[in-house]
Amino acid sequence: MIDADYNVTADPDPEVKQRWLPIGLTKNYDPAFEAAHTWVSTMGRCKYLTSIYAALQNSGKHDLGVQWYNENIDFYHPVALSTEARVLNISPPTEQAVVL
Amino acid sequence: MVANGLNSTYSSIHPVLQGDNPDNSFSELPYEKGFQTLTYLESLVGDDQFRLFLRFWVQERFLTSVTYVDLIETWGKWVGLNYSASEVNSILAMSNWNTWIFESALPPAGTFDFSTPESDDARQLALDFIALGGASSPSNYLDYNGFYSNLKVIFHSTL
Repeated sequence: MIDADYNVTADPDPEVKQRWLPIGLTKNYDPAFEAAHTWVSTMGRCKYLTSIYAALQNSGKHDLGVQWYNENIDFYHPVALSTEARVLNISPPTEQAVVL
Repeated sequence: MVANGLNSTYSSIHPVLQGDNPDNSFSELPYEKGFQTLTYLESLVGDDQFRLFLRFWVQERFLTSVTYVDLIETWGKWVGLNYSASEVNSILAMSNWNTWIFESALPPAGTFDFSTPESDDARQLALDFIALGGASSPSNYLDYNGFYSNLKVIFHSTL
């Protein structure tokens, strides 16, 4: 209902995405998944990444979080890799494995 | 703050890393508590006087790197130059830097009320959506389209 009224999923404001997309992921709202996947694959700011990966991790979607994380291993900064690995409770890639 | 733990220095505006990844100390806290600290200082002298202090601060410290120690010193100097001896004692005693900078506790209850009619409206609109349970939208749902970013944040944080 809210998305139908406001098209929130397409809102470019990251402060809105940071709050809206985790709700959608947690509630299994389909449109949120593609939007969140695109978002975490196009920016690398931990403040925003953590909101998405924590929502996946805390709603039983650990494997999907790891999948998105692995897709972006060559894209994220090593600090982001370390931070989000902690969120997902996995080991970050070793330094040698990261293409810098 | 609660996520960091109220005993963690990460819940103060003076985080002590002790070898930790600096990014782990990151949160909205320095923004919010730093802003609240300045708002508290402003409340001690009033809006107009505080604006003069900010001007003094920039004039005193421009083109330098600063830390909280410089802010405390400059505040003391400005207060000393602009108030009577008894006022100086009172203002500096109430400044309470130690609490604001180092302590991890929440600000004293009732210190601030940041709500505005607009923020109340944004929160209430979200509550109205929740109350309707997806069956329909509140009659004033179009108000959202006039919200600026921070009001949208309040709306979504309330959901």
